Amino acid sequence: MMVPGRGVMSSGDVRPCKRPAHRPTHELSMMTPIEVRLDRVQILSWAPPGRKPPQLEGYKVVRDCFVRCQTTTSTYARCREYRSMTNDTKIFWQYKRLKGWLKPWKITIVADDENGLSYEEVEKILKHCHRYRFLVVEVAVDFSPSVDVNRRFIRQHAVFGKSRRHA
Amino acid sequence: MRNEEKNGKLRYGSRKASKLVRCYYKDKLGVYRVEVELHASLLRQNDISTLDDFIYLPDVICPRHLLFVDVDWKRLGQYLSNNLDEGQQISVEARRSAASLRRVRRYLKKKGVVNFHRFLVPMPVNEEVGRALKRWAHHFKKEAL
Repeated sequence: MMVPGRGVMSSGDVRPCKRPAHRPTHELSMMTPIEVRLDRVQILSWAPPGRKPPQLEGYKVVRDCFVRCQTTTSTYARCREYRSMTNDTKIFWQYKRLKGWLKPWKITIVADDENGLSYEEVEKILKHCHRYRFLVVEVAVDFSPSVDVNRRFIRQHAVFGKSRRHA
Repeated sequence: MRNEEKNGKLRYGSRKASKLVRCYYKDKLGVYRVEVELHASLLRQNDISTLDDFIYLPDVICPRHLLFVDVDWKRLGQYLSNNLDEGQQISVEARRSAASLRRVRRYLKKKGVVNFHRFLVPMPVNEEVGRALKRWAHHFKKEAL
């Protein structure tokens, strides 16, 4: 059983593990082995009745359409989709709530794959929101091939608190 | 869900729980990605209510919700041989299912070892993950100033 940085022999003893021979060392030093990105943020926000989503600087509106009921409970009637003009960041702004107990706006910010979300990008949206709260915050931890973390490694070694794997 | 399994995706937790973790290979970046999705209840528990609080996310995530461990087979073997009649045999069987931590845990629970977590030791890669999270938080904070 091999693990990053060391190898565990069948006897349980630990010995240092060699780097894969096919990858040149200069290439390894250039790569950041573990990269963390803010991947997705979902926000619920209060808004004055009938207020439409604002125009966002640096974003263009790709779509603003009626959303059909997705489950048994209808939630928001409309969704406006923004796309960043500089990278691949997307914003989905749900408005016109169909139930009184819902917050007027539900905003989902999906990051660009390579850069993740920056403080500025999220702040740009939050300045339009009064009395907001975060519904979902998604953090992505990217392991480069040099770390040897893969599906097999996760099954063998990962523990995510009390959460169990769903097959 | 079955399709995800075929594609090599792993899912821990659920959409209705306090967190959901997705693990998959990201073709576009050529990396293996572990996505930790923290839901409102977990964020509330840890007082993450504003954007400035995001700098505390590394402490929330690692090591409590993301940890890499290894089984201390030597200690487990000793425990099994001291406490159970078929200890040797159980130890061999447990090693056979070592490809999945969940399977080892389930097997040992069936054999009466309920405190399996005591035989788990953190791996050195956790420190690297912790450092990467701190690095991200530092950059995030820097942008805020």
